Amino acid sequence: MSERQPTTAKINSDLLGPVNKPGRGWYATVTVSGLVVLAAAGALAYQFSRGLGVWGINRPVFWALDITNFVFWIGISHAGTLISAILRVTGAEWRRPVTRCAEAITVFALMIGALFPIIHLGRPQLFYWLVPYPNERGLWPNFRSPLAWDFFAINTYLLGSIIYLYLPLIPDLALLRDKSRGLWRRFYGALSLGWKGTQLQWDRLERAVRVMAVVIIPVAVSVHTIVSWDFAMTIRPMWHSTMFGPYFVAGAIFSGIAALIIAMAVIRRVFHLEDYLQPIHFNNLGLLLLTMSLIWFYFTFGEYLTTWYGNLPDEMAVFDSKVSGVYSPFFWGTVICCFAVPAPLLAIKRFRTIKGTVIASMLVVVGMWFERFLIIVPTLARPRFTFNWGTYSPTWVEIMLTAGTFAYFVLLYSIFTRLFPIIAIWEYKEGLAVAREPSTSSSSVSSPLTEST
Amino acid sequence: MKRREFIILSGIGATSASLLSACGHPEEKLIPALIPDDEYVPGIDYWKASTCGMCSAGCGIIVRTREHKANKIEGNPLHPVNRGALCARGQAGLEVLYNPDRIKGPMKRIGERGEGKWEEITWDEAIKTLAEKLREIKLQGDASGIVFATLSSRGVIGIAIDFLSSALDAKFWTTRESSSRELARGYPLSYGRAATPIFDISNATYLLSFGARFLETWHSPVMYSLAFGEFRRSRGKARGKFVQVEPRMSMTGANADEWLPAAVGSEGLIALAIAQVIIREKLIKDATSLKFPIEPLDEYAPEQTATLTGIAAETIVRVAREFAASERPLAIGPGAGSSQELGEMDDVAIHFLNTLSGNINKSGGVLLPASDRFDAFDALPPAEVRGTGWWSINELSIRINNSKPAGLPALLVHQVNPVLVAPRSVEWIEGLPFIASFSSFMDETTQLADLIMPDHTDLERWDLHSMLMAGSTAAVSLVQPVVAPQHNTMQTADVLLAVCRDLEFKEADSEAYQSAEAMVKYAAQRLKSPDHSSDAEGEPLKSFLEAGVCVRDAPRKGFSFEFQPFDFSALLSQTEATNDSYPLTLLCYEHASLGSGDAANLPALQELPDPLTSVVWGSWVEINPKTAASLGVNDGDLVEVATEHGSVRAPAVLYPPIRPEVIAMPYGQGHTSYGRYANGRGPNVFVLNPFGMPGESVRARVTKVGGKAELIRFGTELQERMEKRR
Amino acid sequence: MTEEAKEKKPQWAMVIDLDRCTGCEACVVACRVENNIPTVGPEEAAKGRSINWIRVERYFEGEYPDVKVKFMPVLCQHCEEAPCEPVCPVYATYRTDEGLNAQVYNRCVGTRYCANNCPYTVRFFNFFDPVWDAPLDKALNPEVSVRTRGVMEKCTFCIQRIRKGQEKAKDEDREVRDGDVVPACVQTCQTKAMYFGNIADPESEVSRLSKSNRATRLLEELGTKPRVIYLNKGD
Ligand SMILES: Nc1nc2c(c(=O)[nH]1)N[C@H]1C(S)=C(S)[C@@H](COP(=O)(O)OP(=O)(O)OC[C@H]3O[C@@H](n4cnc5c(=O)[nH]c(N)nc54)[C@H](O)[C@@H]3O)O[C@H]1N2
Ligand SMILES: Nc1nc2c(c(=O)[nH]1)N[C@H]1C(S)=C(S)[C@@H](COP(=O)(O)OP(=O)(O)OC[C@H]3O[C@@H](n4cnc5c(=O)[nH]c(N)nc54)[C@H](O)[C@@H]3O)O[C@H]1N2
Ligand code: SF4
Ligand code: SF4
Ligand code: SF4
Ligand code: SF4
Ligand code: SF4
Ligand SMILES: [Mo]
Repeated sequence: MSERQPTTAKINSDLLGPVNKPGRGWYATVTVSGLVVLAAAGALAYQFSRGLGVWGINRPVFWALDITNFVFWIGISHAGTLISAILRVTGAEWRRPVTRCAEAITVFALMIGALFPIIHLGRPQLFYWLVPYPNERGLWPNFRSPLAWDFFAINTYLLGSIIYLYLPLIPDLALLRDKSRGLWRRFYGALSLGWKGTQLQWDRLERAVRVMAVVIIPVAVSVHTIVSWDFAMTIRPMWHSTMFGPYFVAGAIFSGIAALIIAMAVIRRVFHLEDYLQPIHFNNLGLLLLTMSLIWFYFTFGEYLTTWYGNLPDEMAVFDSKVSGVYSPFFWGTVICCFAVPAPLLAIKRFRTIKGTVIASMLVVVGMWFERFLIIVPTLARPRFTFNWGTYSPTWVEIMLTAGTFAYFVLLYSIFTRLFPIIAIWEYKEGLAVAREPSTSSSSVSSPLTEST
Repeated sequence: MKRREFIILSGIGATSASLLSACGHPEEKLIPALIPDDEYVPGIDYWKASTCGMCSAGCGIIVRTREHKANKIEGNPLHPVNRGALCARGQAGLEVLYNPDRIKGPMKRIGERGEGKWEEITWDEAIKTLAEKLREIKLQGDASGIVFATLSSRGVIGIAIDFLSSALDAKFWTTRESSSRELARGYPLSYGRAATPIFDISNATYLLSFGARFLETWHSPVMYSLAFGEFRRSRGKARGKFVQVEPRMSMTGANADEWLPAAVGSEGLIALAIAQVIIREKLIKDATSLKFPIEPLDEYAPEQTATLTGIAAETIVRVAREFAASERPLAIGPGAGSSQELGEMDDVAIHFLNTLSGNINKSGGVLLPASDRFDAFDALPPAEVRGTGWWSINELSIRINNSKPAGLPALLVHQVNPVLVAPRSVEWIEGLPFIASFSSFMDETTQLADLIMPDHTDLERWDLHSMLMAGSTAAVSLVQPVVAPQHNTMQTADVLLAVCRDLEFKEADSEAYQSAEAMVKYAAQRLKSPDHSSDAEGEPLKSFLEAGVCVRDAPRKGFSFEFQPFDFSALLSQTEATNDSYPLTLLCYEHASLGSGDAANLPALQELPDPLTSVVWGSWVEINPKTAASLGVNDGDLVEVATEHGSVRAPAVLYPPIRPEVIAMPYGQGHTSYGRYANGRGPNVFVLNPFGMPGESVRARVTKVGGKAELIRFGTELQERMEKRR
Repeated sequence: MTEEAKEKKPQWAMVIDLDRCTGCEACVVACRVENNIPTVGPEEAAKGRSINWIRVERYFEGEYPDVKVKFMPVLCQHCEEAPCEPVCPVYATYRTDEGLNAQVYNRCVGTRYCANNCPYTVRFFNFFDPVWDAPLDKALNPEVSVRTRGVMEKCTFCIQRIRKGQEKAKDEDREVRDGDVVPACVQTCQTKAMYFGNIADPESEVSRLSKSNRATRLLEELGTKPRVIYLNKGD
């Protein structure tokens, strides 16, 4: 890690800085994103009052930006928990300043993604009909429907990732409690669940975090697999694919890492955390991103090659529309954004800088959004009987809602950084302790840092 | 009752039911807990029989009513014309009755003419005003200059117009329907009688149609569609072969086994070429039955005329052999092309094929009516009335425009819209001192009226349709109100009779002529009896009102007709009117559902995709893809179509089955004043050929213009396919 | 009807003879007026939102002058193995014991998933509330519910007419006979190209025709087992 060894006090003040004194940039960010969110809420209210017709969806393109955003944000959510859990489980030491940042992304991205299955309903007021509970209608949801699976998968994941974010937050909450006064003290006090930093508490926390890390990985994998099954379970050309599960999961992790890199770069800059989020983190995440880019390309190539080689007319109609037809700008744009530019950029060490990885990540995020769009719309626009082929273009409402998701994400994230340290203070300190005491193997971090509280 | 019990049960024990059925398909048991449509206990329907008024074919309908509201029209299964079926237009009939843009009551103009300011008046006042006006005209001695424009010269309106002209002691200028049926001038020359023959398509084995859109417009689309179904498939009969000759493939042509894209106006030559092959190859089945000398027709041999017709000689020879070899061949026509200058000759040439194959009055052939004329209203007591002269709206307009008669005193307009369909009539209509409209809708002509006296719609009025059927029968089809009048309207015949009474025309006082209803009932009571004597018990009337149709023997007339050989040579010397500034030929045709525009105010038909282009809510120009490419026109581009008469703009549709030198446009749109569904939905195509008859072609030019074209299509295959081809 | 068929619930099916069908679309309008299908107007139609429970697909084949046209009426195929059914999360679309693919409007929450998984593209969504400018609403069929915004709809095989036919047979104390139930599209068909009846009854017209050597089903290879049988052109 870093050469200098910062003092505990400096760590505390650096990392609690955003919480205590957010600064002007923070207020600006919250204001701007808040306004966009308000505008999007207005668009949503308009949609609810007029009906789904204010969207650009039609027959046969019944899903478009709604599900694009859904899949995209659920994908982004994989940043988080999955990456941090994998890094934790594998004991990657460099993870320490990254995990919270990632876990927070997960929770917010999921919250946003999970909105869409509700707001995209024709009758959103009845969304609870998808919830299994004994009711006067005498009906359970249809467990054969992937949408019902989504309900469980997303809720499980959301719950899991909230817990997973929350558990490692407890010691830091206690720290905040001790450093704050008045209402804030009560707020953090309540959240820290009476954390005293006893050995027993540390033991339990460590164990719980480790268990959650192991549990959350299959949950995360299953979530995006199930999301992919929304498509793969149908009999639509270029949806009905056995490899959609891993393809979606890989894409999700891919876009998740990219989102994480961007978030880290922003935090580093805005909160002056250059000492904590160092080039090494970007380098390592950049390597991960490169790996995922290659995997993504492999899947995409495999998916399209088999379609092309199989040459089934129904599939080829969709294939053609993507590769050479109306959607080809998006398709080739996606290939450029997700592979052609980021892969070389990240492969060449000289470019794997903070700037380089951030550029690559931005391209990947954009590319992956369009990739989701491309999975959904072309297939729907090319039904089997050509008489029913259709087109799609979004309305301002859908564009506003899409912008709103990004703004909402920024807003939630900003508020989070205002309330909680975005870098896990105790984990960071623990990391320093581990570094100081090389004999202690990373897998058996059992000696807690008690001095902080 | 079982189902309902189950609902209650499952309502109580919903959760346990779902637990019990956890395996298998639980939804089957659970769904009935909600009340879906299939649980609805039907109420009681009342069906009323009447006749469809959406075109002149006269299909029988039965209308389902509940709580004094009509909610569905169906074909009358007892009716000999349509045997229960209806076309798309007929199905949409309730949208006329309940149209939100109907005129709700009589009105008189208070603003400037055409300004659209009206004042509601009472019917008494309206009738008084009209009678006053007509009396004034009569006193000035101008009554014979009155133009009475109407759709039909038959039925109660025809009688009422005769009464009115007698009351005014004048011979009006009157219009009548100009349908292809009436326009087919070749029938009398081919078959020796004025009444339209019935073509026994169902029993034919080979059908050669010269541009007749018999499945969509033409004489009677439902009747011939039914026949076509049987022609295609019926038990114990081989599948018939159908060949259509026309420059632009119509929906009818699309159903043909073979399409011969003959040059515009070459139908007669094709028919003669086929005849020539039959004669030269001695394929006439029963040459002895032909009572006229058979000429070799060598100058019409397919080899000679191929360049004129655009159809290869081998094709003609093959078709001729197939036609002659087939068991029951039938040639039908003409299409609209016959209203061209030499149309009559074309018609005779087409029907000469039937004469040659000896299929007249044979199964699968041409069935000639037993009489020239049949009218159930002949049973009405004789009245002293005078007749009027009848022209088609275009003929009338041409006459008036040409002769420019000074001081036409008034226009009375009923069920026609000359401003739309004969645009040049505006020239004389606008200057008229008095215009009264009987229209149910504020159409472009009514917009100019001084007095509006809205008519009942078809489902509110009384009338009889008399028709000659095959097999020397005749049918009388009843038009009767199926619901009470929806607005303060009055049947135009009744208005005219009231005006006659006001003018002290004594014939209108007699019992039988009191009203349309009285006329209908009087005649209906005497339907069955040849001597028109009343049926004492009145039973026939009751059952007629219930059944809506009565089939009886047709009056018979002895005909002696010998086909006369005809000199067709003019067909050969036809010179194509080439014109460099108008390199293309424009064909206009009746929109399959919107017709000439009368149905453009019905949303169900506006949103019904055109069968071939799939266009909804608008108009278009059909262009062969090759021609379009040479003009730099893409599918959906806005183009301007210009003829020497005028120009319009519409989106281009690349249409594969049309001759490259031909373009086509449907009528049907072009309204500026016909209610919310019709207005502004595309150009008025009539301006391109303002003196035309249906199907009269005109030279045209197409240029691509900038601007956004509104081309809305339901299905997209055509467009995508074009994209791919390029 | 055979004894065996009598015991079972009827299994409704339709046969469409493509050799007879002329593409006239009378069936399309008949279905609209019978089933209270709203027109959506030009703006919405331009967005691809017009509703036709039955449509006539038209295909051009070949190039001038050898152009052939194919017309094919397509409605809900009432698939025995309907792909639209399992994906519905709320059982708003399901199989009835008479072999219909039923749609419960009140139950539908409007995910549109079913429409995406219908290989025949015969499901239609109410993007807005339907409008009938008064007094056009007077012509609404009282036996068919008007669908609200946000729900899916499609051909029901004229369930209200099936029920009516069955009620009538019951009133007359007899079995439902072939021809008792006639959906609106079949009723009006100008060429009598459509047939409707109980395919479980081996003596019904649809059963007889379904055994024709011209009989096919659309996209049979998908295994949806449609209940609409098409008779091909030709001999
Ligand atoms: N559904 C429906 N049925 C109707 C009507 C309706 O509006 N709708 N209207 C009724 C009435 S009033 C009438 S008049 C009849 C009209 O019915 P038709 O007599 O069938 O006339 P159009 O429908 O105009 O068809 C004209 C046909 O002739 C072709 N054509 C046009 N110009 C020429 C030409 O110069 N030469 C040749 N050879 N062909 C040409 C066109 O391409 C088209 O195929 O239909 C009646 N029936
Ligand atoms: N150039 C050219 N000119 C043509 C033709 C052509 O092919 N080319 N075709 C000719 C032919 S075949 C025809 S049939 C005519 C068509 O000519 P029209 O019959 O004049 O045309 P429509 O548009 O059918 O007009 C019918 C009018 O009747 C009114 N109406 C509707 N329902 C009712 C009702 O219930 N009662 C009353 N009283 N009125 C009602 C409506 O206001 C409507 O405007 O055009 C002719 N003109
Ligand atoms: S052909 Fe159609 S519009 Fe004409 S009378 Fe028959 S049903 Fe009515
Ligand atoms: S045709 Fe489509 S909507 Fe109808 S049952 Fe089959 S899958 Fe379902
Ligand atoms: S749109 Fe309605 S019927 Fe279709 S899947 Fe969704 S809830 Fe079920
Ligand atoms: S069966 Fe009934 S609901 Fe289905 S398409 Fe025909 S008319 Fe419409
Ligand atoms: S009504 Fe009959 S002939 Fe006309 S399109 Fe429909 S199925 Fe075909
Ligand atoms: Mo006409």
